[in-house]
Amino acid sequence: MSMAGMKRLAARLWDPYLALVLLLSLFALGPLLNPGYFWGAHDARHSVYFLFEFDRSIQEGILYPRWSPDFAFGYGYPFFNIYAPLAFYIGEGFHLLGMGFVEAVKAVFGLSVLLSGAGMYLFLRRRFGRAGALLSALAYVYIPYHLFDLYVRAALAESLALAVLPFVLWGFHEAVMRPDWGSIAGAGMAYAALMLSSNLITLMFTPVLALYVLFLVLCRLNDGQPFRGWSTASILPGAAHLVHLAVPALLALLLGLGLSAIFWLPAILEQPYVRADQWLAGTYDYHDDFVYFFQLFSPYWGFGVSGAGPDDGVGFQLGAAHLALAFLALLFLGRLKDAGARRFVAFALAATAILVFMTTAPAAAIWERISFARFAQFPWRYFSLVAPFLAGVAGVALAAHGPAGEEEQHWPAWAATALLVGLVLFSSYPYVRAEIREPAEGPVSLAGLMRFQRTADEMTGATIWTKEIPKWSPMADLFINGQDVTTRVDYSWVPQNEILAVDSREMSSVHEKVWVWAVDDQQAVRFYRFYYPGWKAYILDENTEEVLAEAPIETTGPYGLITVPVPQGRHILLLRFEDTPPRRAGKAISAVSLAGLAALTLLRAILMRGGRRHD
Amino acid sequence: MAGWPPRIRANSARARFEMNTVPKEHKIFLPLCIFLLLGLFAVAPLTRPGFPSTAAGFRPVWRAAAFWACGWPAAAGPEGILRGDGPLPLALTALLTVSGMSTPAAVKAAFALAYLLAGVFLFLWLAPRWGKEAALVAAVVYAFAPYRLSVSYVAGGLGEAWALALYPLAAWALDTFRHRATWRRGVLAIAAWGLLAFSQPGLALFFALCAGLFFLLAGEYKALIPLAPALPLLLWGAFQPIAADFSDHYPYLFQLFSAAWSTAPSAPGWMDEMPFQLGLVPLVLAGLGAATLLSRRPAAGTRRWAALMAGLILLVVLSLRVGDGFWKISHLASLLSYPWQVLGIVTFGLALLSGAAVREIPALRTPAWLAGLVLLPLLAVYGYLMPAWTTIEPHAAPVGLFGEHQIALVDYRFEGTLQPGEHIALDVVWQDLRPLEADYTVFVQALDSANTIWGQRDIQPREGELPTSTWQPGQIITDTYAFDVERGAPAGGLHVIMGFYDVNTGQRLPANAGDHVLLTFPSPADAVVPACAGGIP
Repeated sequence: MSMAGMKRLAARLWDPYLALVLLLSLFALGPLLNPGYFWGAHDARHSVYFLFEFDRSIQEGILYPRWSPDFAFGYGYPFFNIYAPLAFYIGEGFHLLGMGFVEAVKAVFGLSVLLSGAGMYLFLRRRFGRAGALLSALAYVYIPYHLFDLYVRAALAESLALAVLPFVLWGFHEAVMRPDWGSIAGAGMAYAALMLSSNLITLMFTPVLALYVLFLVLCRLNDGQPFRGWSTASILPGAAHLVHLAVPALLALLLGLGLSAIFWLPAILEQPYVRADQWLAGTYDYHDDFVYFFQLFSPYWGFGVSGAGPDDGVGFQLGAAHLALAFLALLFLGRLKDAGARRFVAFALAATAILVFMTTAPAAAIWERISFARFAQFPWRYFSLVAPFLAGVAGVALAAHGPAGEEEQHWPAWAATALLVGLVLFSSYPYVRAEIREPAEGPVSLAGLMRFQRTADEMTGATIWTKEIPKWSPMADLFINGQDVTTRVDYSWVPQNEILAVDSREMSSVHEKVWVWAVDDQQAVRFYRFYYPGWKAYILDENTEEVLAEAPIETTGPYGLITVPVPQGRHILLLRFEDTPPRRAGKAISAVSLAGLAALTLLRAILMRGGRRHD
Repeated sequence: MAGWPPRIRANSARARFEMNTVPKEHKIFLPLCIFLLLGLFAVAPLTRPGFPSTAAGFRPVWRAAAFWACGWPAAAGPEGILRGDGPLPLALTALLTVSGMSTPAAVKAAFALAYLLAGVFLFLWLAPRWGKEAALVAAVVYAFAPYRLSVSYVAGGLGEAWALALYPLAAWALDTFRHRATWRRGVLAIAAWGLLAFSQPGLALFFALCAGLFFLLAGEYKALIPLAPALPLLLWGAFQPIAADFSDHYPYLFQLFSAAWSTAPSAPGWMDEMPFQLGLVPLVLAGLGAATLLSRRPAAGTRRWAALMAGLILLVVLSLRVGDGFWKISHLASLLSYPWQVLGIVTFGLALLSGAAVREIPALRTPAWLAGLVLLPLLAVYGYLMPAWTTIEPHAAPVGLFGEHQIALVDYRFEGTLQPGEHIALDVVWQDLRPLEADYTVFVQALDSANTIWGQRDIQPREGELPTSTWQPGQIITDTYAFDVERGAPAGGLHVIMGFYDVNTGQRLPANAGDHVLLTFPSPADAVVPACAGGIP
């Protein structure tokens, strides 16, 4: 690109209001700039140690980690097979650039804040104008639930999902209203990013997104031929037109699903093989966590936990300024000149009302009937879906600020913008704080991970073959003493006598090679590893290491540990965590989707260039 | 006759502009709904399970429960007809209980209704005259005025909360009459004032006095006609006794401007923690409105506005100690429980001036500025919308009352059986209703029919750690008193009494049955019935 071209591009991309969004978001980053970390936040330790474990796999050359060897006190757990990994890829990027684990996690949080504001601004700029979009973007950055996610919960995946949500809305809005390959590709990529950020938020958000798309499609249909003019004869062609209008959004959805299939396909199909009971009962029983009506309006803010009754240790306010601006949006709705803006505001207000209702006890009946709703664990998690809509409508007051009147010339619009932006920031500023403290587990390390797991019961994930959740392990002892685990063979179970002899030759997080000598066919080797689909055992030739046969895997003991019967003689036993058919299928679909996306984008670019030359 | 609040004149440039910006059809339903939605911030705390822990304690609950049984003025409490809760809020609460609500829930609903109605009346009054934007701002400023929050969530005055709700209605009715004096409008004005009088008679009379003086100063003599019925009542009221501690509760000037907020009840002296602030936003907006009104040309209605502003300043002065002479000479202190209650009218006036600022400055009616002006009063007090709360469920009446309605026995429960040789634990819930000067000792005694003591416990509350002189009005104190019933006690016919006495004099505090309360075993009877004769605190 020539220098002139670069300058043109820069001038096109430069938007002072977007820069202002990023600049004013810095207040929200304040606690992240503190040298310390809010270790006491609900998931603060989780986020750091998830990244720690992710990094251990990446360092071993596993580019798409699924098995986390050190979770469950070293018995391992298929964590990233069922947990969206995007936040950890980004965090790993920061870590590889030289940041510590804590700093990398904080960087991801910071990036999510900046992205969330930018996304909301870009989504609404065309509809609300720059000032309105600025207000909505900052309202989104500073909406209390967003700050709650950042500094009270320290929920890394959900924070990133909050950053992606406006891009998804933007993409699908464009895909319906201005369908072209760019909007379809953008929507698809945004949806994939959402899926890879938080499968839970995706699960909750997709029905809302579907309704939004349907709403937009119906609006477009009505624009073409108003519904009041429809007759019975119009129904069939109307339905066909409806499908036609919905196709770009459907294509975007398929693209998004395709790009993220590497994650969601095995996650869905293999999720039944992990125990979910400890995440859905007790503390995580949603019945105890419905929000009281008064809490939606209460200024209370805390760093405690959510529990049964009205005395939660945390605040569930929607935001005084945000809610008031949403109420006022009803008043100003009629003044919006842009039909797209009016539609978004109407939908956003309705969605806000319904989603807020979902967080309250009267919605319990709905929760009972929707089987997957319980995976949200906490009804107040629906606030993450409320946030983009509630914050989105905040900008209406500025979007509806009509042309300057006779006497308004003395009151420049920027002053009103400054007032409202200031009020939104002012309303949330008291909540931009974190409880910085020292880590109780000591420095981030395997020893720290063991101590952390010991104090966080729900962290000890298990597979369905595990009947008893371990409280500690021999490997944890080694980690705590600063020693390496060089083998996961359970030598306490392997007699090491004239009947059976084993010697671990090689081990990584996802495999182990063991020399075995067995006097007969009745012997077996047990590993300190939970069984999960994908673990495969092979008998190799002792000298050539050629695969002689696949060995069956059994599970033994209350922990359901991998146990491999070995044949008589001297062999090498290879235990390896491999891709299952769903994982292979997921990878293939993602690869094809990515290739298709790249090819079509390239083709479009070539065609457009050709078209321009022809012109 | 020129209207007040002044209507827009069609022959001025400003008026032409305003005629274009204020829709003639006055579409006020939607903005009214917006106000009600915004009002949710103020009333949402009332939806919390339990009851607000205010200086009034459970008195509004007990008075409402007594309304059917004892009627009014017995249910007004010891403050009497003038200064006690009026029959309107009590009747409304009692009616709500008929619909199946518990009495505490009904009282909370009555508070919420008062809160919302105040803004509704103000909005409906001003919207057709000043435009919906000005009316919305005035209503929001009034809804989120710190003094109103203080009345509902700190003082817990149900009657006063309703009086504050009905000031706009009474003013609306008087203004309508002043605008065009017809007998029908006169009746409506009297009826509106009557509703105010049924909410809190003393405050209604003081409001009538203020309104009368305002109309005199403004030269609107005709508007005095509907206030005439208040005159004899005012004269009668002025001869009623003054509250004993009226002069102890003048706020200090700094308190009117202080940002401090607490849920503590009013106490004599400058250390009084009860919030009396007029509110930064109402003062700033009212100041803007006042400056705009006084500087405008032509000066239509300036006399009225000047009278309003002067009246507000005068009321502020009267709320302070410098006004003590006025109250003593006029004897009008008999109308109020505390001098700071005049701040309610000041708050109302500030809301009017705030709305006038929007009416006078067209730019403030544009969406962006209007949104800002609506947000400001809300955000300024948002942190105060977290009242102290209790989950104690009161009975329909206090189980016992001690002193001069100073301590209420809210509830109790025995653990153990009242038999010889048994260990008894008595869990008690007290509520302080009025300050106590002495440190009283609690006594619990197990007596037989001959009043022989077979077991007893004498101790200051919380084993001496919470002496009664430190109790604050509205404070709830839970305590446990344990004692053993002697082995030689008769197997049947024992009963338990409890009360307070001054350890220095041995003098017991008066109580339900003379100087003690008889406790049924193991807890109060299911339906604690209000004692109408002097038994309603």
